[in-house]
Amino acid sequence: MSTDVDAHASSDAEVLARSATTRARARALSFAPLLMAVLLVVVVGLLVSGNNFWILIASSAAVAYVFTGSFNVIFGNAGLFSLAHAAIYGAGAYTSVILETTYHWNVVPAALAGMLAGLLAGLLVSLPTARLAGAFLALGTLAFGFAATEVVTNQASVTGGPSGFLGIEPVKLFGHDFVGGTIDYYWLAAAAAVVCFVIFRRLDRSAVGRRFVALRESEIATQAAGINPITTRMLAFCISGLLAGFAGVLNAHLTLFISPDTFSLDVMIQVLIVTLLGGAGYLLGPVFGVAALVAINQGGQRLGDASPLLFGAAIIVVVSFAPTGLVGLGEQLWRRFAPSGLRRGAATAGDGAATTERLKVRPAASHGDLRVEHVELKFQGVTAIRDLSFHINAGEVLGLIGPNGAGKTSVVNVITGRVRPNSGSVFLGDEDLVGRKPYQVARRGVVRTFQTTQLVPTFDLVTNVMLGRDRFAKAGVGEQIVALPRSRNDDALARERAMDLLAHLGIADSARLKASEVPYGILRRAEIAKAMALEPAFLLLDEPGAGLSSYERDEITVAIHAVADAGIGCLLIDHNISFVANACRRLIVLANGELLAEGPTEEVLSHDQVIAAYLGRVAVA
Amino acid sequence: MDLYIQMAVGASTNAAIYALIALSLVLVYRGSGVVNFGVGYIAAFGGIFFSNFGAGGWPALVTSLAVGGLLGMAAYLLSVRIGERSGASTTFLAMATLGFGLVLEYFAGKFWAKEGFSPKPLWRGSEHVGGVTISHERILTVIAAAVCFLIVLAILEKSMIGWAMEAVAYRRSTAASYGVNTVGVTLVVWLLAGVIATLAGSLLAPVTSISREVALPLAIQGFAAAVVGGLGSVSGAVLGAIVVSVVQALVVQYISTSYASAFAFILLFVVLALKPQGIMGGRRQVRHT
Repeated sequence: MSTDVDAHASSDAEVLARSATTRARARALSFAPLLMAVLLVVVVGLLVSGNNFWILIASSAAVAYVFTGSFNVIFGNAGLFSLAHAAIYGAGAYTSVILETTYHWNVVPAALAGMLAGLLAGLLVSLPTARLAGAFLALGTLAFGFAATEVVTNQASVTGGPSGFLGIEPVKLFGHDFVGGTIDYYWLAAAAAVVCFVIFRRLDRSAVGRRFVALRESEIATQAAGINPITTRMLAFCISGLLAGFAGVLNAHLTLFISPDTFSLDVMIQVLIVTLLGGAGYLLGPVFGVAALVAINQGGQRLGDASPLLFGAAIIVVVSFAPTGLVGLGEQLWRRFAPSGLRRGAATAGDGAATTERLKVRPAASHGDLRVEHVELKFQGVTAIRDLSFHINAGEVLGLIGPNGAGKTSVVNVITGRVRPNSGSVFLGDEDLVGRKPYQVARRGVVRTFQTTQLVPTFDLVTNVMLGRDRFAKAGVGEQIVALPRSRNDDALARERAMDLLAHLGIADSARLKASEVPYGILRRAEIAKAMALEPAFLLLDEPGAGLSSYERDEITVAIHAVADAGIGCLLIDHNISFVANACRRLIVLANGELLAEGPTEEVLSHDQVIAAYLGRVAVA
Repeated sequence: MDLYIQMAVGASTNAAIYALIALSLVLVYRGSGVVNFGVGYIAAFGGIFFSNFGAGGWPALVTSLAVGGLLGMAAYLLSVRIGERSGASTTFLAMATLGFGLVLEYFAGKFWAKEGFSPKPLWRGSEHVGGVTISHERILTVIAAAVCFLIVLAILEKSMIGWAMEAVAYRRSTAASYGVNTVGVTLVVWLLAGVIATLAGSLLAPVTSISREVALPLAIQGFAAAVVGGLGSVSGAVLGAIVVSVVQALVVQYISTSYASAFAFILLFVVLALKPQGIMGGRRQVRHT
């Protein structure tokens, strides 16, 4: 066992050495967006300097970018419809100015405290709303925002009440005053915006960013990859809260006056609209959103206070015709009209054969076998599973067949923790898995695939498979967000491993294609690759052959044998008897939630009751 | 004693208004799965229309309700329908309704002054109970809300169109496969929702006043009532409205006038955290609304 580990360690080192050169090249390229960002703010700064009106607008735009970007993290990336974001922004603003003005703190610690206040406010909102989704989350967080407004309005002795907080001191840094509304403050805000852009960009490509998007697209897939959805959610609230707090601090020192209106529901609505207009979830979305905001506000004023009309109309048009916003629209146009040489990812979905070379599978530490014992599952009086017991040995492929509605998928749901049985146990070695959450079960080495594939449609296949490597990351969350070396090493290893798995399943050619763009047969194999990335001890395959051609099923059979040869126990559910018979030496049959037969494949398939359950009682009659 | 009567009068008027808004929200939520963030703007627009139409009184109310119905249908056709067909998420559709609301807000300010309106009451005079004066308008408000609730209940339980609404609320594709014109039914749902929201705005106007600024607070109180009631049940909406307004009255009386709405929200927060399905249970009840 120890030699095995050493072999892997050396191969990891090789991977890192190889990736170092590609990374050096990538780093040179990755400076381009940063340069563009700097160029943009410098050009804007030079254009507006000398005109106080436009300086103010440019400074507000820089602050709005930070605020919108922070909302894009929680709403665009993590898909959480939080309406408390403006209140969190307000928390940052009020905290910093109260500390500075009333308690005479320095601006830097006060600003940090404002960011911390944003983070804590985000955490506070996330705790009681952890189970809410969609509209319910929106309404719950709306309540928080509304309550915050009342608290600020009523605590006049601390906050200045409804008439606002006066006497905010300008930012003093390095002995220089950066007074809000001057070009000096614009440069400060612009620098902050560029720094935030870099953070957003790194976050976007980090393991944390991947987890956010996975959570947005499918909570089930997130859990199946061994990722805790609740902590991921809290993290999204914290990161976006921290940055919203920062935006609040910037805003307070720009306007030098804040009041409950600073973070009212109108502000919330505006940031929502701006995020959506630009393109929710896109790195460049907030940039274009803020540009649209400036255009709409200025245009609206020319037309006589018509901003609400323009905002309202814009949002309806976006939702109806361009749900991906300006950036998404641009991307689509680019794909259609750009010269083909410049387009990326135009590769055809090749369908290579699975390599017969033995799959380099690293099984999780040996747990013995997986035993289902006396499991009983009822749904409102209907018994889905009745006193079911069976076991899967390490390294064997156990087939599970049964007619529709026999309870096959329920068995997988019970084992993986998606459904809690009314009684009975599922033992992995000595540990009872019943009562564990799906992500905990996945982390313990019992991994499943789904009848309908659960991949993140906006990720390419290799990124999807990398999700399964998430639990092997050595870097902490903070390192991942700012992409420190350890996190980049994690990613390089995860990518290498993911490419390996895709190659072994014969779909390496499609690795860079989005999951929404590849054919079904390739998706099914990608899902097996993702499950394998978790280095399971047991793999539960729920109808991996459904909807595939017989050629594709043969490919999957090869892959399953490779998995079993590496010592991983497999449960194979399928309807196609010859597929199951080919892949498994042992078979169990379920009918009406009960175990009908168990034993060597040929024996079971010639069992009278099994034939009756499958084909009806023709043979008897 | 007078104190309690006073509290009861205030709470019942609020409950009536909140219940109507919540009713409008719940109908749309069941019919389209969308939280209508534009509901407050429809109510405010309708109330402002009522305050400024002709000589006021009952003809103005009838006309404003008709306008409200049209607004409801327009909200569906303009902001929801297209996105719905192309598979937009309900989150996005909710934002489109907000967009529709903003457009209404703009036109309300364009057509009429950007100020509060207090039209003359529909029913003049008042009653005296003990030492408390109760205006007839407040009594009318409660009666109108109750009648409206009963009509909605009767439509849902006893009429063909109500059953069709139930079917659409349960599952659109199933309803369609039984030959229900789902778009037509959904339009009726939004029409009803528009009428009810406008009724809330029109009843509120003479009691206090109506302006564009009340749109959001009104919607928020309606959300609170609907969520406390379970966001999906018509009776729950009314019950939720009663709970929210009673809690507010008690908070105002015994704790603080300034935190009245905050407490409604703490209530909402607690309900969501502990029992997201609300006090009336299921998010989607098929029968026995």
